[in-house]
Amino acid sequence: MIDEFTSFLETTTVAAAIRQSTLLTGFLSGLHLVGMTLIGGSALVSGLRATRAAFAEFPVPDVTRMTRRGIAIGATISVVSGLLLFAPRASTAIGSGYFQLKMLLLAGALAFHFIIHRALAGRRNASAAAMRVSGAIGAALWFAVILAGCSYILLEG
Amino acid sequence: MSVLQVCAWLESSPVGLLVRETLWGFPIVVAIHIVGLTMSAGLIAFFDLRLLGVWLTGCPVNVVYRRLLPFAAGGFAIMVVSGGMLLAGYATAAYGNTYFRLKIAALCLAALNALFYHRVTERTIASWNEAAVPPLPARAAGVTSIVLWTAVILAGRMMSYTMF
Repeated sequence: MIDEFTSFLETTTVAAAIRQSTLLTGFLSGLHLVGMTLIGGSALVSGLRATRAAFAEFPVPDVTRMTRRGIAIGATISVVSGLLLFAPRASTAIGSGYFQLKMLLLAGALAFHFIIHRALAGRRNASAAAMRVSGAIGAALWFAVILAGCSYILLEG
Repeated sequence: MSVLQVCAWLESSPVGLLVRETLWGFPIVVAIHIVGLTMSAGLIAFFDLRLLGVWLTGCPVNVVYRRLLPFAAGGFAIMVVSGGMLLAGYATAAYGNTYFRLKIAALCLAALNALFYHRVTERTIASWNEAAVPPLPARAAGVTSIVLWTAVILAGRMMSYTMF
């Protein structure tokens, strides 16, 4: 079933257009990185507030109103561009160890963020030290996602 | 010594060889470069949002700058060092690549934009530092910064697809 799905994706007009154009592929890859930069910058600013390293005198919502939007917009850009980059090479990607690792790490980073980090951030008595440890683990997971993505593109792309 | 001779010298350096001829050298340095970019450009974007008057409008502009600067500068340092290492690995190909030249041009323009903001626009900051929406010159600096850093990122990625 997965084979049929990846074959279908690869034969779509959009996938064919992307596969035939280095310019389009490069542009989408750049957009993917723009999305990630938005997510990363937003997460950093939120993290600085959560650990009270910056803007501690401002209520959390004042700081995170825009960072949440940044993460949402960045994630949208990353997911859409990622899917468009995946479509032309879906079967190759699915079979790649680096791609599988990236997706696994991505799932892990997201799970850590939504299950552990946000739960910790939601506690009134969460210490700055605990937030820093949680932030550091999250950052390590996201760095691993980036490294796996680079490995996939550079070693198998 | 010509530019191409300098490129060849860089490529034969230990750093150049590490990046180009080891399996993991290039991906690891690229990943570090991306992390540096995320830190620097990502945080600069939030200062630009303050200049545009759409984020943390209750905080004086120069305070937002001072709070973000150490972390953004750290990211910038990571980006410059890792970028230098990547250049050492593929200096000749980069030198002849249109998108590399566009990337460097966009970086230089971003630096000029920042310099203009700090040397000219900021002269009058006493009158608008605590304003929710800064005046047009400050907002223009913010928009220009966002556009130029986006160009840096897009040109940087295009390099990968046109250099090899």
